[in-house]
Amino acid sequence: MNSHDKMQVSGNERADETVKYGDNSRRNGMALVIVLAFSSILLVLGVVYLRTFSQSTHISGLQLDQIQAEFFARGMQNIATFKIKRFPDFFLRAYRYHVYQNRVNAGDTDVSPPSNPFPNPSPFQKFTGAYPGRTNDLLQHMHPTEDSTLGFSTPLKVATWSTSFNLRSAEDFNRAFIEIDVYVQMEGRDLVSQYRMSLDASQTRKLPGS
Amino acid sequence: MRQNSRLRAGISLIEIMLAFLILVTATFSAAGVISFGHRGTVADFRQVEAMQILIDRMNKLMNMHFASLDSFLTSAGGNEYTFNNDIEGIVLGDEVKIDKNTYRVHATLKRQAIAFESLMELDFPNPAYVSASPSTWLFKDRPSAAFDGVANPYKIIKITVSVKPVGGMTDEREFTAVSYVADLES
Repeated sequence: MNSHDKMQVSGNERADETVKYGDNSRRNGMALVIVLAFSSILLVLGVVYLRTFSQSTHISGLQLDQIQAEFFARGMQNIATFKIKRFPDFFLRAYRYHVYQNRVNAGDTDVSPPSNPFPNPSPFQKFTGAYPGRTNDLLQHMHPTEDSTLGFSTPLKVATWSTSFNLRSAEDFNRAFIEIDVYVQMEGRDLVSQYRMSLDASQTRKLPGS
Repeated sequence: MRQNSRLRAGISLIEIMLAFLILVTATFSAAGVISFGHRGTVADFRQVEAMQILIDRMNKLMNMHFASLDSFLTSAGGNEYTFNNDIEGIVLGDEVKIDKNTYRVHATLKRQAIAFESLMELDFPNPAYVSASPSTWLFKDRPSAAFDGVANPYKIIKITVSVKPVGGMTDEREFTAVSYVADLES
């Protein structure tokens, strides 16, 4: 039997086995493929699960920031209200002067010109504490050094805050609605939250001797 | 023919063992992820509950008058004090139980020094002064006012409430909020 004959015989044996057992060579590695596919699905599910979980943790951080900002703003509104109650004459006159100054600057001919030049900064700017050159005011963001000395906003991480006042008058300023807006930005956040408080206020004159 | 069958049987065994190894590894990893996620979910729930406790305690303390808060500090004997026992029905403590969970809830009250600067007032005598006409008004600076317990009594109380879940499977973060109550009565 030469080598050609041997090969012929070997080829015939394989053909017989294929007929007898089926094509097993095509099944080789199928278990690995199935397990790898199963593992891949598990991996994807695991990643999705972890991502969902990490997002919910991030959301709770944002919620906490909002809660902290809101309580801080309510506290600042209380301090602003205290300032108005402590210096009502300064607030009311400064606000009326501010309205008058705006009308003069707008060219309103119904108002008479001031007997003296307008002071700069204006009384209302001084009341609010917000004017150029002033970088340290209780209602307009304290300087970090003074803040840490007084322990004012610690342990909160407030990036900045500011307060604005508005007076909606009625009955020629005898009755008014005071609006106090506090703007708070927490550290590491772009969002500046605004919190408004409205007060219904009335003015009474104290008669001498009463 | 017998040799080929043996070889094929060997390959099948190695393949099955390898597949089993990968399957076991993947299953254990998945179990680890599920366990981690479960702990995270439990921690998340406790954090949400901690935030609700924080809001509740802050609201209750902020609704109290300045005089009441100040009297607590007077009783405690200091300008700043951390309360870890109930005050006026507000539940505080190192182990406050809400259902199955435990929290450490503390409230710190502090007499806060503040100062109002850049104050002004009307300047008198001013012969041209007419009360109803702002064009006649003159302003001048006046001294700043400090409420620091020295120049004037304290008028602001700083409230700090901190809530921390304790006794859990993981070390969880502490939640803190700060606010102020002013003396608007006197």
